[in-house]
Amino acid sequence: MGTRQCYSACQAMLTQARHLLPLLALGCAGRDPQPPSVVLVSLDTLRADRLGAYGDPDGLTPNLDAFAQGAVLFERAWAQANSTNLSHASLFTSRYPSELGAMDTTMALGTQPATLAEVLGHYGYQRGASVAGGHLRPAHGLQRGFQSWQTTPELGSLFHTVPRALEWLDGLSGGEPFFLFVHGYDSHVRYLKPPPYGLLRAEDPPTPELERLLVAPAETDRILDGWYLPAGEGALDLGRPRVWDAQARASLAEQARAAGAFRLDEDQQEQVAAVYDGAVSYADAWFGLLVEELEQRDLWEDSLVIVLSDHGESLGEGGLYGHILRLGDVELAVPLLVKLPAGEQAGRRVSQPVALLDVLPTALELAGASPPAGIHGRSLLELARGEEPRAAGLVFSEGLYRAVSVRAPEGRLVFSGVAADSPWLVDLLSATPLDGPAFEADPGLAPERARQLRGSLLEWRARLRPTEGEAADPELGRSLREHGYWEVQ
Amino acid sequence: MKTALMLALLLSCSPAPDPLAGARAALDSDGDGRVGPQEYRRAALRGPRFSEVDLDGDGDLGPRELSALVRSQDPMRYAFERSRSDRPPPQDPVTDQARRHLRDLLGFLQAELAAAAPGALPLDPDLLARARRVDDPETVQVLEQLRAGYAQAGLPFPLDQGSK
Repeated sequence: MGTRQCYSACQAMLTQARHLLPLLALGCAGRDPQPPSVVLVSLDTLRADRLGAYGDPDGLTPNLDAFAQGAVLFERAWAQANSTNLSHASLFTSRYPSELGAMDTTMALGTQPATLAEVLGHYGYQRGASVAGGHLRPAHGLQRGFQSWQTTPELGSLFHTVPRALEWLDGLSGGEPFFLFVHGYDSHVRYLKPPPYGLLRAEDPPTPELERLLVAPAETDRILDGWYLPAGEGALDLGRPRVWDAQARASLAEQARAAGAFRLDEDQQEQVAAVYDGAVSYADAWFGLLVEELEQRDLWEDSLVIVLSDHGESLGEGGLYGHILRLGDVELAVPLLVKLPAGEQAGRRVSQPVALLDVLPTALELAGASPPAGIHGRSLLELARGEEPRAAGLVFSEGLYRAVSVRAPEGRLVFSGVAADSPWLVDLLSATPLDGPAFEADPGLAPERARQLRGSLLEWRARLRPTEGEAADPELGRSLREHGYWEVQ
Repeated sequence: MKTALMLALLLSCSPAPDPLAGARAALDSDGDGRVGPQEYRRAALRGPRFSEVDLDGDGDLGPRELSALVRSQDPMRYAFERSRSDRPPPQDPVTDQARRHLRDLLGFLQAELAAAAPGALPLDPDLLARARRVDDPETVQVLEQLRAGYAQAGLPFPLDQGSK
């Protein structure tokens, strides 16, 4: 056990001991204890497999790993969408993205359904967020329920959002619990971070050509099958294809050659991954600084702290880079670490599949708050406490570009070609042959199980109840293309 | 249990571990416990020179110096600077694409006026130069409305940065 892990474990023990006395006192006085403050940290585009706590051997994330020692770690947590706005909208409402508005990057949360911040506000919580722009800009409506929503103008970093979050905390008055949401795009595109993190994990400096790719806001989603496609007006027009189709890929390669694209060689692909790893270490460093600041303010031990990512990132798997183009494991597997107040259940690992949808009911249960009607998530507390583990659930996700998926413990089934909010989805899902190109199943998934999972997808679909989202803003769509969402129409 | 509690009490009184220790260890490639100029340069692509970050001049990037470095380097500005470092000066005429980029930017600024920190927006000077040459009446009208909105809010208008 390293120094920091040892420190965290001992802090947890100490905290547990410290909590006995107040609990006894409250029991004698017959008063309810104050609900815990809630700190929710979203590390955008962070792959679960980059954390040491999730098995990475390279020591990229010492601070997150130390945090995991004092938290409950969910080994198989899945995001409900592969883009930031859709995933956060789902996280904040415990509803599926297609219930919340247009299934694209311009989606803006409407006036319904209730958000986590709104419900906590009803229970007296002070609510503040410090977010890093992009898909969390006010135009997307995710600030609903927060009293303070500070955002950077572009795809920002914890470098910007952590100090602002601390300023907000320092300005709070009274003893009411708080809900703080902190977000950073540190492992999103523009992977290359300032010294010393930029090349911390790389063997060699990138060529100028590759360096431009690593600092551009939109470039990784243009690396398909190893072809780097330069930005530009009309450089590609694939009609929003299913890019994993052989036909689309052939067309893509042809267009890429015509557009003067270059192909990443093996070394360059390794460099891209190494620079991403540097960005992960950078995010980890700022997370460590946030923890340090919260500890210094005595706001750590008693708080519920949840750390997660909204989606993962493809770094060449399946020939793709980025996250918006498919519903693969690397795009949807996210870290989910939950530090319960007083260090309860520190170090427990939960292997059952869970969803980011489950975060809202978990936080509300600990806050003593009633969850809103219509949510799909379930509190994780029973799993976290090792009580009566629930039956292994299925986890559903929706893709930004015409795909839905279901994940079971034994594998996944992905259906692509129709948007998650299409009125035709159910008919096509029912009628399309399971062995056709529209379905992608894990190799180990038996045909009978695949049929069952298709039935589960149909049942799941029937349960969804769309709410009223805001109309997509065409200006916003144009702006998003500059931030990497190049297929936005 | 008693011993563990005593240990916890003792540790709780000691300073917390350094959150940047992982980076220092990764930088220290020769394992001598120090981060010298060569080790720093290997990881620092076109960042500040070692002499600028080695504040006490002892030839070692110590924990406090590393912390100061991380807290001072804005990743948005860094990426932005790098992304235009090798770009040739703009020669192209005003195109539909330039107009679209400007409209995108205006849409962005309109959405951000109330909530963000517009003065901190690191805009690309090349793009600004191009934007100032866009002259179609519709775009200019939006531009002027936005400029007035910023003025009313007492904020510097980002597109006027660096203009003469």
